[in-house]
Amino acid sequence: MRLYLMRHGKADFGGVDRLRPLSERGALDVDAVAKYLSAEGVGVARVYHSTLLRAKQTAEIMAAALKPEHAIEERVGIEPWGDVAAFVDWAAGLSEDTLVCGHEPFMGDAAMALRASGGDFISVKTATVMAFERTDDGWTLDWLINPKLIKKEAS
Amino acid sequence: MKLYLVQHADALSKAVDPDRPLSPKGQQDVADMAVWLKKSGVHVDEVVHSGKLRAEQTANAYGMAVLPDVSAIKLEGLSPNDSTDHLMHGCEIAGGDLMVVGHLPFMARMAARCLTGAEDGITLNYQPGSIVCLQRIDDEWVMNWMMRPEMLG
Repeated sequence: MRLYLMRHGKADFGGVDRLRPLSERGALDVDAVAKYLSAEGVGVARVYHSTLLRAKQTAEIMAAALKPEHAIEERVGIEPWGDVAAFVDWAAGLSEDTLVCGHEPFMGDAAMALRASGGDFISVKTATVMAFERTDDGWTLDWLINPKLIKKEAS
Repeated sequence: MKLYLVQHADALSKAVDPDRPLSPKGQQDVADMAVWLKKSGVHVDEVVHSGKLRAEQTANAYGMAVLPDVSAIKLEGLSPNDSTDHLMHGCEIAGGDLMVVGHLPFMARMAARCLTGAEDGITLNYQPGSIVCLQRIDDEWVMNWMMRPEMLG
């Protein structure tokens, strides 16, 4: 099975942090990524997002394109300050292809933790998606894309 | 600098052709990836390969997209089980962005060494034709992206 870790798109600044919405460009970035992945045959059964609005909106745009079988779910604990170790334990129990929309530094830390190694070496820009595959040997990284690559391709 | 670590695309088996050129699938994959590279605006200053035919053919196809009018050149020390020291040193002294086309496990070991300091520090699921884009900022390496032909179906 695959686990897709995604950072929300660019958000507007100001106001209460958890209520900051995606900016116009942020929504366009996410939509470009969503449509690209859908066109390439990527599908998921489940979509989760954090308790913050920008991640929820990101999940909604992704779900519209990737058409998960199950309703989108909010998940507590994948906020920027979430518990990475608990997330990795949870991921170990997943049985269906799953997309999780969250934040930095959590997603980068989670990516490192899935690989059981230290260091902060993945560049997780907004609307980046990382595809991890669970193998007999643990999680491996299949690919990593960001909207900059996709949007240029679309143009 | 940016370092693009590439595994050669799908090749014919030794039994079919001892020189192991790219298979029809491999040829299609490199053509698709080359179009994508060009559209994505990837540009490098040098393209090198291991000297094996399948790596040279992949380097030439990607090279036409990322460094037009300049031929890819053979670099020593890129065989599957070579030490990564030689290429690490090359990166130290490189004057620009570099695309390196070779083999597994070398490419996966090199990427992991750059990113984590250890050749087994991270497992990248390379497939034939995959490209991993690393960037060195100050003295630290980060992964910018990782693409495989499957993503361009």
